[in-house]
Amino acid sequence: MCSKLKRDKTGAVVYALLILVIVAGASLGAATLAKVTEIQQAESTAPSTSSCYPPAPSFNKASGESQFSSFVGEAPNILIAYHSVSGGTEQLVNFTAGGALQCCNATVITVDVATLDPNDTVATAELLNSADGIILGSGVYNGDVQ
Amino acid sequence: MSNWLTTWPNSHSGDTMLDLSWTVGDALCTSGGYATGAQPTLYSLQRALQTFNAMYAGGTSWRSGTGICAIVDGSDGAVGMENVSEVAKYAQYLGYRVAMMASQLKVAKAAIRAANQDPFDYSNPDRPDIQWPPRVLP
Repeated sequence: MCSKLKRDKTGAVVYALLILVIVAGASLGAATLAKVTEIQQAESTAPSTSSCYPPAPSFNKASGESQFSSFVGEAPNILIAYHSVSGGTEQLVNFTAGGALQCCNATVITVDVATLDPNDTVATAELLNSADGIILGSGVYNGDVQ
Repeated sequence: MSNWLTTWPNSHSGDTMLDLSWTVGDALCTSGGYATGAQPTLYSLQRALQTFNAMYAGGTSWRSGTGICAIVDGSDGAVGMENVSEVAKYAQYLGYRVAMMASQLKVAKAAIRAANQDPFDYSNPDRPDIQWPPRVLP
């Protein structure tokens, strides 16, 4: 009988302590939440001092994605103007065009300059001005451009 | 190719000077041997581009810093390229690099235009209508 009473008393004390811990934790949590909200409000109303600078690049090691890799520029127009006599330069141009096509939704135009009118400077200027990147290809003749 | 390069509009021939300031340039060539003038050919193409203010990209490796040149054997009508897989790799990287740089420059040019600035409004001694010395864009 005595031992049962003692056990009941111990249980009551444990229950009381447990309730005390829960109440204290809840009040502490509420206070922390209030403080965080207060800081967030202060930050949102304060003028930004870093508006002149772009945000730091992020990098996700798990997926391998970074802010830079996800950044896509505008699709460029790439002009590859070449002259090929025996086909070797054309083959090299095709390799280069294949690489350019893998980037940035690029549009690649390959032009054999032998097919262009050398007297039409207006068409030449339009062709060159329409390109964002120009790659010139030539064979070697007598140590210089063919 | 050399004939075509001479047709590019320039102020010396009385035309409006072609302005490739916002254009990325690069060069490639094929040669019959290692000592036949591959490097001077690449430099000639580079000089042609830079005469008109283009920015020269080069390749992605020290082996292709001034462009890429492949050694070919065109004898007997058959074209053979030495180290085709290696050359293809360097050529693809070169093309990718040009496209990537051109893409980013296109964005920069659009940003300057969005700020109501003319991307070609930089000081140029060939353009007396534009002020000199240069001013810094915001």
